[in-house]
Amino acid sequence: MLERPSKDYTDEELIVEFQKSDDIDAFQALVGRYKDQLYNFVFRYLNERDSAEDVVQETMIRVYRKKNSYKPVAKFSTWVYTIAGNLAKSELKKRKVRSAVSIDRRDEDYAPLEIADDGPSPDELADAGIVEEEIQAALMKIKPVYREAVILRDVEQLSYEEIAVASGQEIGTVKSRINRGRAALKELLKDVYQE
Amino acid sequence: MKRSEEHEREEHRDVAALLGKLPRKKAPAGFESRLMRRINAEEYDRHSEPRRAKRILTSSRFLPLGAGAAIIAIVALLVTPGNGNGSAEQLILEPERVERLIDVDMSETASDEASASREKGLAEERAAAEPSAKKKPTEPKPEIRAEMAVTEEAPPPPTEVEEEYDVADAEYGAPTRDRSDDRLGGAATMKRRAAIPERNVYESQSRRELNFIRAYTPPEEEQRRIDSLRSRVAERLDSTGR
Repeated sequence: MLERPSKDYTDEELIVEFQKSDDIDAFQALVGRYKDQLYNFVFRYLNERDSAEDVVQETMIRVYRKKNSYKPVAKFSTWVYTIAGNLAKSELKKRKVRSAVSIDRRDEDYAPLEIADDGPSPDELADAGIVEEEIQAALMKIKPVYREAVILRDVEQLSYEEIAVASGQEIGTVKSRINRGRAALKELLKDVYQE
Repeated sequence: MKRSEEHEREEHRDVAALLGKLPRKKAPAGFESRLMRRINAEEYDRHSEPRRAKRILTSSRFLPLGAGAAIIAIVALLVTPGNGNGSAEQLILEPERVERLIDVDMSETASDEASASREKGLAEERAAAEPSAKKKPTEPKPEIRAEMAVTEEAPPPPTEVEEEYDVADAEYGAPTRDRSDDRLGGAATMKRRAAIPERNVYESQSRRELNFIRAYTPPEEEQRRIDSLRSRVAERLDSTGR
């Protein structure tokens, strides 16, 4: 049982509490904080709801079972993003054969939209959700390593250092991947930018 | 270098902004309860790991393997020739030995001198008859040959000895031997039977009866029945002029 309300604890304090006393409240507080973030990250990476939920659940189960492998030298967020990222990559490998087919299908589903000159702005389209699909389709077309870096940076707003730790790469590599990913996305989304 | 990085960042600022405005997906409703169920299920599985291993080992998929192994073992035992030391195996492989053992049993169980001497004489006679029987089949006597010719056409009625044996079988509750095949059957069987002296037949049947008594008679009645058999054997041998 936590002595204070869970919101008064940092992530690192909660995981340490969970390590020390097996306090399920501490674990559930961490799940409550990270379930949506991780789901958003994994969904953007895999573009499949069921797989995303499975991966996030598996991530939390790993946190539960391997809690003692967390060392307080690192931030809890980078540790949990590392686990989720690795599981998402494994899932992507499993779906390799299927993904070739499904990407083709998505090409049809997400065919470039004819955007009228007097149409809504990209921001408005994003709000409407239609551009979201365009962007998601573009994300799925770029290399997975670029996709991971771009999502962590621009969607999840992690720092370069955190991304470097989470992906196990040098900061320089991370920045390079982010730039290349953004450039590829810009090319794919040029129709959206015309306005 | 730093300037080019800045330039790239500026160049892609709009992409970053666009990505930043993507609506955030939320975990589906019931995510936490499903997660806790999975965790509890895994905990349960982890604790019941030994039981599960036991269940797998004793499950029906291993029964055919066990049955197969048992069948192979039994077949191997039956097929593999032994070293010849086992008494049961010797009895199977050496019928003469069986007869000797029966003779020994008969003499051991003899309670009086007269029966013992009769048995001894019987054993001696058999011993004298056996070598010639081994060398060549006993030649039927002329009168038996004539009987054979008759029996080839019409099987004879059961002999007195056979009837006696049937009575003994019925007395001990043993199934009656079906001789219909013998009586209706081929000439070879008839010849074989005719070639055996009646006395030998009687001896053989007596030994079978003795074995039957030893196998199935309660201990308190065993001696009485053996004595009865012995006296019948003695009477019979006397009557046939041993």
